[in-house]
Amino acid sequence: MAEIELKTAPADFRFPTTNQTRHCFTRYVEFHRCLAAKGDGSAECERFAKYYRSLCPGEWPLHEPGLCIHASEV
Amino acid sequence: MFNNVRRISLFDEKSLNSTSSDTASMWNDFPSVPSDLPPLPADSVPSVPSLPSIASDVEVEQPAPSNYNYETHGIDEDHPGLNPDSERIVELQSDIHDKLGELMTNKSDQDVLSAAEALHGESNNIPFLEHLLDDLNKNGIEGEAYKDALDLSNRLGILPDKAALCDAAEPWQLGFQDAASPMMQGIIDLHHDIFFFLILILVFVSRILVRALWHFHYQKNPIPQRIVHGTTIEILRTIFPSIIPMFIAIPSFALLYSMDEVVVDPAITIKAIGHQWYRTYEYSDYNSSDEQSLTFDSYTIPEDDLELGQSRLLEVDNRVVVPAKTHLRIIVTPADVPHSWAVPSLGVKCDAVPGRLNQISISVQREGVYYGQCSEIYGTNHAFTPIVVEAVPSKDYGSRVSNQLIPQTTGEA
Repeated sequence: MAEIELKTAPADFRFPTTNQTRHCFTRYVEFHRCLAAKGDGSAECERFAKYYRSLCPGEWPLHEPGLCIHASEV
Repeated sequence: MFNNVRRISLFDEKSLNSTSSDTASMWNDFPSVPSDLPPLPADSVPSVPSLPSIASDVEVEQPAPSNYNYETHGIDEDHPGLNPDSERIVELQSDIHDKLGELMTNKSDQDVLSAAEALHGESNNIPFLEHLLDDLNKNGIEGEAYKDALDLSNRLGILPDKAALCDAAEPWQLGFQDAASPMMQGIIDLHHDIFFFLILILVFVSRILVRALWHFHYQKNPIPQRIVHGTTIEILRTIFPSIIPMFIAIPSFALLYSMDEVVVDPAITIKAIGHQWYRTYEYSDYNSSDEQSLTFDSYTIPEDDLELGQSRLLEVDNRVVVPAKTHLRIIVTPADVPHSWAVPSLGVKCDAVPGRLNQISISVQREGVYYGQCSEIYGTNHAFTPIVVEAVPSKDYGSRVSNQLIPQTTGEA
């Protein structure tokens, strides 16, 4: 894996300040809304998945079973 | 003569009690000249006839094992200020350096000098130096001495092109560390701008103060003049102090707002997560599922495990590897208690608050290793959680990250 394409969640103008907590949350919610709309495993939603994984720390409990359902209903 | 003097200083009983006139064999038994003995100053050694207490049947002119002519040791009448011992040492060290230069053909001059210094170690021990030189001459690249030179110089981590930059705290440091990001360069420039006005005001105020103390001394000038008002001076002393902060504010605000401006999308997001009392770094741009991204812990290297040349309380086992000249987004957050992520060379200090993700945008302008320390006290080991950022060329970044992928993570996608 010598060439890694350097790409990450772009700078979102909705969150111009230092505090990016809402940014992480918004991307997460967008991902699940996309899943709810387009069905699981869609390529479009993969983009949002990458964004929220880039931003949100791995330790945050974002994969709780009930959380996804609530997120997509937000 | 040299033999006699050595016997005086080291009290070799064997030679004092000996009746043998042959001291050549004694010289062979004699331990090699210890390197911690200072070279004998030329004027402290008396000439032979004035040493009656030493066994008088001891021969004076004995061939020493090396070519060094000990007869001239002591006061050299032709050149009274010279010490032949130290001359010889310098000569040997320079020969070693030359010989190493011939053998190490692909290294730079600076490398050769450092290797030579590591090898002879500024030793004063003439037989040791001669032994090194012999080894280099006879065995060349295959010899022990050459291998030692390379080994020592590698261990000391000689990087001649990076040696001069200050990217870590130095003892008794007064100024900033060298800038490695445009933000830090801006901070340093602002500091210089403000410092100019600072000195101006300092000198002016001190002069007025000293002048007032001098001229209104109660003995010289018992009746100080009472001046009620002076319109001109009052106007001037109001206008000038309000112009000066304007000169200070212009570069200051320019820097402040440009620091917040994120013009370019970042290429990489790195999460710096603080725990008590270590750090975790996550590079999550590459995982394609919810499984673990490239995550590793960064513990400080304790003092006992440090190698030669490493800094105390600043080194870590796993460094944050970033590509140089790339826009990075660093997200700082803690797992438990507030702390702070600071790297002075990059002009970064970002507090980490539980439950909050703080973003900083940096772009490291040159390759190198940058050190920083935690800047918010968070328990016993707050002083033992440093930060080390290593900027590598962009083309090497991929291989560095993938090398870390293999040992660090399991089940990484």
